[in-house]
Amino acid sequence: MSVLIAEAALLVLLIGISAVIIVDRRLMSSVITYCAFSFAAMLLYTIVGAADVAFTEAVIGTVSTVYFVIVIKSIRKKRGTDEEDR
Amino acid sequence: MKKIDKKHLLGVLLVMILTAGISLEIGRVLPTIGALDTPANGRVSDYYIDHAARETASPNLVTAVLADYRGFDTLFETCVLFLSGVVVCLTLLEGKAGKNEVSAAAKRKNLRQERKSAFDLAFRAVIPVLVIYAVYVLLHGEVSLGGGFQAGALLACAYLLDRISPGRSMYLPRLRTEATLLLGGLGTFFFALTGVLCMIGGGSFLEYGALPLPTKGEELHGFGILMVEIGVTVCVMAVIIQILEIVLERTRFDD
Repeated sequence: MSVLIAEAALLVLLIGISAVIIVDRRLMSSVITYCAFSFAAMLLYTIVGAADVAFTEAVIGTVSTVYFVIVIKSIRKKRGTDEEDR
Repeated sequence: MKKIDKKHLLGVLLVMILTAGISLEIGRVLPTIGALDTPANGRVSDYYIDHAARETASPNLVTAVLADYRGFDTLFETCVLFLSGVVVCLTLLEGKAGKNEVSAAAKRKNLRQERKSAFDLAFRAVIPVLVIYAVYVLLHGEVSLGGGFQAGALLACAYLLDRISPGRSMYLPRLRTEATLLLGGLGTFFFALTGVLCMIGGGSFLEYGALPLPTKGEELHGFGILMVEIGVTVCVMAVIIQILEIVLERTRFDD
């Protein structure tokens, strides 16, 4: 039963995080929230019993977050602007 | 941004409609997703559970499916990964930076060196652990969770942290874009070579029991899987690093 509650909580969290990612106008904060999304997904996979997939999700979540950050910084550099709000 | 031609648009629309139509037609033939009477849900899993240990002499069911029953699948997955790396290379790679700019970047780097010691300390602790963990995951691929793909991603992760931490030279060897391209190809080739070696030993493609090595049985099988997973690891690591290097090269970051 408690497992079910944890699963439900994680699913709600996933939906909430995705909503935040979509609504947030600041790219950088969206990317960091995406990292949280991948963490919640990892916990969900672990509960379901797919440790394999959870492991992959953890590693790839980190790598892709780093990628996104680099790409956003490179876009800013190309534009010549370095303001932090957008 | 170039304006799109009307003729172009018509062609694109035609291709899209055609593709959609063909996919929908094919979709009608395919079994329903998640239905209990599809082949994937019925016989195959039971077959794997019943026969995998005896037929493949593999210590882990997941590995048996990944490397034995679906060896070709894994092989071509690795090929697709390598190809995607090549395509990224082709679309994003530009001319190299001039020497003046590089030296200017190096000057700025020296200026920054003093300020970023917290990053330096954190990464200095994390990177060796990551690399050791990656090797552990790779070597225990056939008995525990993880395997080639995860190990490659972990290695690439260590490289990423090392590469993006500002203000000092790297701990790990710096890989150029050409080197990563070569490494990705070598990894894929090593996977295929393992299969060919099995054929030389008298078995069929990727039949690990027939590898021409002095060991026998389960140990030989484990060795074959290890060879395959080394290939996957190298390919995954190389492609991830390659994309990073290309993006960094495009914008010529100094941090």
